Amino acid sequence: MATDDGTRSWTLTTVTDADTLTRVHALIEEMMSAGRVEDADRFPFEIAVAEIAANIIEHAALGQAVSMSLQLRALPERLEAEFTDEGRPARVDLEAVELPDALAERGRGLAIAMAALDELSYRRRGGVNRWILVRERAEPR
Amino acid sequence: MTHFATRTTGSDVVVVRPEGRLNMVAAPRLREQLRDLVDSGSARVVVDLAATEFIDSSGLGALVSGLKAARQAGGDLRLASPTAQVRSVLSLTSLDRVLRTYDSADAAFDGD
Repeated sequence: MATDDGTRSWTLTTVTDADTLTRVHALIEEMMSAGRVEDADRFPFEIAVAEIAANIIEHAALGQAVSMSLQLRALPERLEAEFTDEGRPARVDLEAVELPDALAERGRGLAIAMAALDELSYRRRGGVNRWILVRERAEPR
Repeated sequence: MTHFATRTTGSDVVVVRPEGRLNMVAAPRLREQLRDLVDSGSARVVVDLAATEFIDSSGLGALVSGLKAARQAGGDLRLASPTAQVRSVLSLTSLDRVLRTYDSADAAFDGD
């Protein structure tokens, strides 16, 4: 879908299950193949979207089926992703997130997403979790 | 649980080759396989990442787990042929400082 300001968007509405991550990657692939996105933007954006999706599946859904939607938006100057889910609240302070010790085996997901993005926000309202991810393009289109 | 392909080089180094996406779906399998290899006496391990198209924090956790197991057993775990996506994530997390990367799986333990 394209709007007058040049924004194109791709949407996935699903219930979390074992194939959710595969569908998220497929949606990103659609977005990337629709317009030229440099690897310098693609890799950080894709890992950030994948980490937030994994976080929702693991912590908000606790491995159960919860309603989740993802909208990806490509603008001339930035890439955006917006997740909503009806799972448990995320108990996270994004201000305090940092990479763990090099030999830690867990706890890197949100830190990777933050390092890869220019903006990451989370809020919960009316029983719905909403994550917004923004990556400014290195070379605006 | 299906294992990733392994082979042994002439210098008693075991090479494991994960394929596809190394994420929360596949990472537990790699973690278990690396631990089993070390437990069975193979402490010099190369993870050949030529066919790993994507890695996330779960995949990194499996590599770190294998690294620790190998070092505790007196060996090491090294990476070979990472794809561009894998290199970008290793750099983003600074794990390229602890997980040593080589161009070729067969050369990863040359000279050791």
